[in-house]
Amino acid sequence: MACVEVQHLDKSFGGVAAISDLSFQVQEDIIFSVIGPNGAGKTTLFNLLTGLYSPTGGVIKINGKGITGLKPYEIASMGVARTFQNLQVFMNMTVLENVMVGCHMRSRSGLVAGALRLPSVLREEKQVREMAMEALEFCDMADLAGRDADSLAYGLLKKLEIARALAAAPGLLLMDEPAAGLNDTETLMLGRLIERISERGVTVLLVEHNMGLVMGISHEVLVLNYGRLLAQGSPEEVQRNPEVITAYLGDEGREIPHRRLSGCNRPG
Amino acid sequence: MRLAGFYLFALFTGILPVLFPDSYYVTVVGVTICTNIILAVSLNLLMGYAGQISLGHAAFFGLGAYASAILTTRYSLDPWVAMSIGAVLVGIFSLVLARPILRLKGHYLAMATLGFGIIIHILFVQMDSLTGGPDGMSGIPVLRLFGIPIDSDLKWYVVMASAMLFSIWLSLNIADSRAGRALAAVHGSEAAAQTMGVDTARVKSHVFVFSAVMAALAGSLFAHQQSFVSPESFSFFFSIELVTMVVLGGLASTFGAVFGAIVLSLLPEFLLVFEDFEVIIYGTILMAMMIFLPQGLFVTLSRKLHCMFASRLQGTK
Repeated sequence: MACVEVQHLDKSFGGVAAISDLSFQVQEDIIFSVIGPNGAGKTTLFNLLTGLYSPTGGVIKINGKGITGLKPYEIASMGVARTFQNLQVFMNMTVLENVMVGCHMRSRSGLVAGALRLPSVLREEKQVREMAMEALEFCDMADLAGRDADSLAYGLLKKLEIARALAAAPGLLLMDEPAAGLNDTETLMLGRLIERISERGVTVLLVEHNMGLVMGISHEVLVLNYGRLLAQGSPEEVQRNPEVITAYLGDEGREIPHRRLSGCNRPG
Repeated sequence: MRLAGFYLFALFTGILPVLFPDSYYVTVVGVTICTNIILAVSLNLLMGYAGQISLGHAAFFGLGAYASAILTTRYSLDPWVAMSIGAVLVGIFSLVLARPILRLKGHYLAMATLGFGIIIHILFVQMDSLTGGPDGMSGIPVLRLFGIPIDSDLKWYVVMASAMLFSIWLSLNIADSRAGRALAAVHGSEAAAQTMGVDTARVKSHVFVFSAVMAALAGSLFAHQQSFVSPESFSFFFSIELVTMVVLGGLASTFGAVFGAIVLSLLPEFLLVFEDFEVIIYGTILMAMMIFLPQGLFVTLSRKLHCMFASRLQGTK
């Protein structure tokens, strides 16, 4: 069964169509990338998938269940986690606490029980701590657990967002430009991390401008242009697609069809 | 280790009346300080932890006080029963209020809570058949704990200090709990909190109710301790003073709120010697503190101390 099913999705902001008549499916357990020039509607798509925006028209199904009208936290409880393009780390907390928030849905205790520190809370707290540490270890950040989040360098903050998302034990992980602002080594490590996440049985939906990364790790690539589906297929198919080349490089791109897209960091 | 600061503070509050049993500053001002600490700590749950401003916190304090005053004097209920009814009523009232009001953010939330605080204050003044109007209500009966009447300054100190320590303990526990992290997440980034599965509207309304009920309970104790209530104690200005306590000590830190409450309660006492200039000096000190220690008195000082100790330790190695 498809993990994500999008049918005739529309989203417009005051008459400007950010997404129009978009349909695609994402199979389970793959790395599925969404690329496209700036303003193509990639982040809008993510915000629709996580319920931060509600669609103007069309249907989104996650694991066969329609998410129209659901609140972001309800969609999250269906096993959907995400990272953000502009960092949304909780700067007022430590690294470990950030990741422990990721475990929110895997724990239950309420405000009053927490205030009274009942024995059940203590047990749960211990479990949450372990789950969070496990996610940090997976991202090679266990040694930073006690640091304040606001003392971390940019690259580590991006990784912290991934660890926090993983702590939710998601079935579907949406990553919005995880490589933006990272250097080549960091990007390489990120690619490996994403592959390891995928090997854990998490479906990864990736929005990314770094073509080297996208073409290197994706099983399937979808190209958006002006909110419409331009092409979909394996990385090789997409790179050969003349329409994609035009969208990225302009009409002149047609004259050099042999030119590969990999390596252009920030097209558009 | 987690509660080291708490135990130290508890020890301090316990020793004070033993060392100075007859001191006006301990048993009289001390009781006021305890009340203010409970209020500042409860407001800090909402403001410091969850990042939701409230300029109407004194209203909940007042509702608790008036509930106790009215139910004990007009309906002759037992003080504890009256206190419980007051807390439940405030709980229900704040729950109804929470959803619509916490939908607002920033300045709009400030204005809405401000309006709410003023409305409640007007009700205290205007509903004189129930509240005694501007003159207030007197003759509130003595509180009894395990059959012992709480009728001396020292006994009140013990009761209020215990309640105050309990409120600090609750607040510290919340900071270190699932709900506390959810609140801090709402404060840090509401969008990220939601996508991590936090029902932000729900946690915000929970903490709003919790904080309101804490203030109401403090109000009930206050009513019995004073044996007199009047609208003056629950005005808009007191709400502002509570906000100042929380901000002055340092947002999001329980002991920051405690520290802010202590400083703001003691300052007027010490400034009495300046007579006419009291208010001016009071204002100047507050302004200077916010300008030079924008993160709050307690938070800045504790960081400085922390750095000093850290460098000392490195120096000895």
